[in-house]
Amino acid sequence: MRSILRSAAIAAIACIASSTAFAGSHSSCPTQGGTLKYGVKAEPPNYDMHGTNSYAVMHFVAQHYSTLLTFDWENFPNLEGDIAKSWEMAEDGLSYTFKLHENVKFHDGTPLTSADVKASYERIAFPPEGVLSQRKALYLSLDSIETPDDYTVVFKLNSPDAFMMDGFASPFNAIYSAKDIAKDPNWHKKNVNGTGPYKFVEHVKGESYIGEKYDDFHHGDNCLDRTEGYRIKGLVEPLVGGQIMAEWRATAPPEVKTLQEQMGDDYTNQSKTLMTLWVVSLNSESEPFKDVRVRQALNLCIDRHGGLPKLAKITFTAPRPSGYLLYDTKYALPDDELYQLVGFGKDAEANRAKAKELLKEAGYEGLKFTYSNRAVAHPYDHIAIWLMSEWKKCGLNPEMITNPTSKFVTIRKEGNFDATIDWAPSFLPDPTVMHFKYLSRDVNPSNYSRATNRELDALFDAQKGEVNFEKRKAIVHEFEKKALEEAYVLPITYTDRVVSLNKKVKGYVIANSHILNNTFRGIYLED
Amino acid sequence: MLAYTIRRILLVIPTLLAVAVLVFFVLRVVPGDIVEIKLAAEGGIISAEEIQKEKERLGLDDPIMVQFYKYMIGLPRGDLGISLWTENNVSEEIMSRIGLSFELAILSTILAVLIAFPLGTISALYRGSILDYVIRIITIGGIAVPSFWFGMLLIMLILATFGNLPPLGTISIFDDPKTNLYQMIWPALSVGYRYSSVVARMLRSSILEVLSEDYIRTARAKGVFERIVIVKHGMRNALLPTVTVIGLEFAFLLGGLVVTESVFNLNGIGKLFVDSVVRNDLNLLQGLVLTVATGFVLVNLIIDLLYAALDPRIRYQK
Repeated sequence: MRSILRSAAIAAIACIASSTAFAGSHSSCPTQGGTLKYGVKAEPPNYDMHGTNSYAVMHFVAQHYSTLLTFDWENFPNLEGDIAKSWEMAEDGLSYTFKLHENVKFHDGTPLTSADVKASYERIAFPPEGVLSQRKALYLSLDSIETPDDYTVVFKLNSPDAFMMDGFASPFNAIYSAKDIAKDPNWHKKNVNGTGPYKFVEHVKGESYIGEKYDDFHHGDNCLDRTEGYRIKGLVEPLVGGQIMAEWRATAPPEVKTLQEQMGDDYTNQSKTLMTLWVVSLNSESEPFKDVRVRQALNLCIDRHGGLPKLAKITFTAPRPSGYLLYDTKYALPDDELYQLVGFGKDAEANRAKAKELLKEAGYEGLKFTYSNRAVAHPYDHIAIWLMSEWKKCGLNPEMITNPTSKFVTIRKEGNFDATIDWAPSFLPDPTVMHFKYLSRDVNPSNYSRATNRELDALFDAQKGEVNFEKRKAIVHEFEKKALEEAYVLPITYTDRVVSLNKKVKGYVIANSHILNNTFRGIYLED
Repeated sequence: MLAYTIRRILLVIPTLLAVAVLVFFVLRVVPGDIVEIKLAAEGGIISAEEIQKEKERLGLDDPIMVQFYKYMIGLPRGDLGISLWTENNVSEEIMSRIGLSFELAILSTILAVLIAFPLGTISALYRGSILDYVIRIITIGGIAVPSFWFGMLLIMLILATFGNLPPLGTISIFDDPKTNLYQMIWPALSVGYRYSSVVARMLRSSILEVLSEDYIRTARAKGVFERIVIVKHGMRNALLPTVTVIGLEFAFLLGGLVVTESVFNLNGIGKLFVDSVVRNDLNLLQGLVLTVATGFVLVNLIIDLLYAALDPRIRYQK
């Protein structure tokens, strides 16, 4: 208990120390003005940040909103204040107190107060009937929210929650006006009123999304006059043809090559590993995959060390093997420990020999099984073709079935597959978010392996409630090892994200997720 | 003529009704679940309970006959329901995009007619000459080359010539005709090339057929000037099947610009079709099919009435 209190106190001091600078790490504007034109390949169903999981909402709508905390993008995942001026966690980890900036106003002119923060977080954690909150499950430890004065908010928890501090920086947790929520709890589905750097102007559905500079923005680092987002199909022609200056999601290696050739010095890009893990879920209700030996055999057949670097040259996957947590992040298994686990060793031939042995023992030599693929080229087809060839090297007989998204999603949900490509997108580098995917089916229906493993569920709960970093890390490693050995879900690789930009676009800092850093703060244009 | 017109108009109603019923039930057979796509396709942390609640809210868990009843009672009022993706009225979603598709279809038709009429006529009049062969190569090429591929070539041509592409986002012809034309002329050319080839070949065949008729020989024998023989007796009669082709192609374009609109990033109903299929937005999809079917039926009606006006034998048929 003493160590928990000590670590909580250290965390609190660190929080206060890191929150002293109002403008945070975002640079001021070297130039002012201009219109940023960008492309997005998808379109949001509505504007409600709390109810969505779509990157399209972030790319279009995030510019209008602020969050309680945000990240220091130059030193991710360090936190910094957005509307919060300072904050501290209680020694027992059961409450968080935030002091808010006093000069923050909504785009309609209403001053932001603690009541708005309370109303927004209550909408996220305790949504009223008829309101959809996508990430409600992440805030189950939140008990109540108090507002002692207009600029102080206190979050009371029913149990310590190691995720909570990062959760306050979730880009989805936009602060809405309490007045707007009171008008209609679903007002934000079709309307926008935030405190972010750019105001909403117009959305022509299927075509364009326009924002304009908010002069009273509290950080003052909104350098552009106007933002114009366009719905695009591909990104090469619009970038080469000057129709857009940026696309924020990802550019595949062949596209990067074309853009470099076509745009020459006008082209630039930034790259970083994205916190989206490509996985293969093995249907544990399918007879062969009930046997852990068969699941492990499929994992052993994949030569990650030999294949991933080659795969990374043709699609946007990372060249490095990984467990469920992104390598080199503070909770991830070190490589030397990961490579000791079944399926992650460097000797491909030895792995395959072991796989064949396991298949023989289980009575599934030459196993025929279906692999459900999504009809999207990058990186689905590339991963699928590589996996097919790897499994065939072990004498397995996989049959790839490719379907359009709607059918693929139905097949995945209903479990009409033996193996399926799947992905675990994370917007925060926290084990609570990153490991949630692998919990038992009744806890998380998006674990498409349909597995139930109470040991993993218990480890997950234990790490969530542990605020001591070292202890939490030990539990997270135990979860990681256990889940990887069980092999219900096989991690394939993370995503290498390349953001393509016209060289005029300056001040952008790429994040480890396409969900993060989409407010256009600090971005300016240079002729 | 009035009785004929009324009879033809009355026939439109059962046709559209049959389309509506067929579309509703056929789409329900297609696998896919928009709520899953909307809430869980990109991963995330959403419970089965939340997904079920969303289905209930959108009426997707109602028995199929209840859904059908709601759909059918809305139709006479022009209520096509709401898009399951945006939750806006389907009719609003369609109306906000149909103008662009309509403009593109009209522009393509104008280009097609301007190109096809001289080509078809010259090809017929100079049958067997080098000119005829050249025109035939051009028109067969137009039919053989897919519009979207021709569109991609055009994009490369624009980039090579101007160094940039037309701005994204629809600019109204009434606000800025020059920019609007710069945006629209390329997709119109891409579609118009194929369209003009079809019309030119039809016109060529029709003229050749008409010119071999007895009444043409009679007119020539009577010493009527060749220009009058061709324009007054030949072209006028050759126009009937050509008008039919132009009308049908125009109707096809209203819903058939799917790929061209995607290639040129145009926000028309073709692109909306693609979006609604990808998202499994059944309400929007059935609204779109019904809209295109209505366009098709109306164009057919106009052609039939035009036929009746041009050819008295048709309206006297019982």
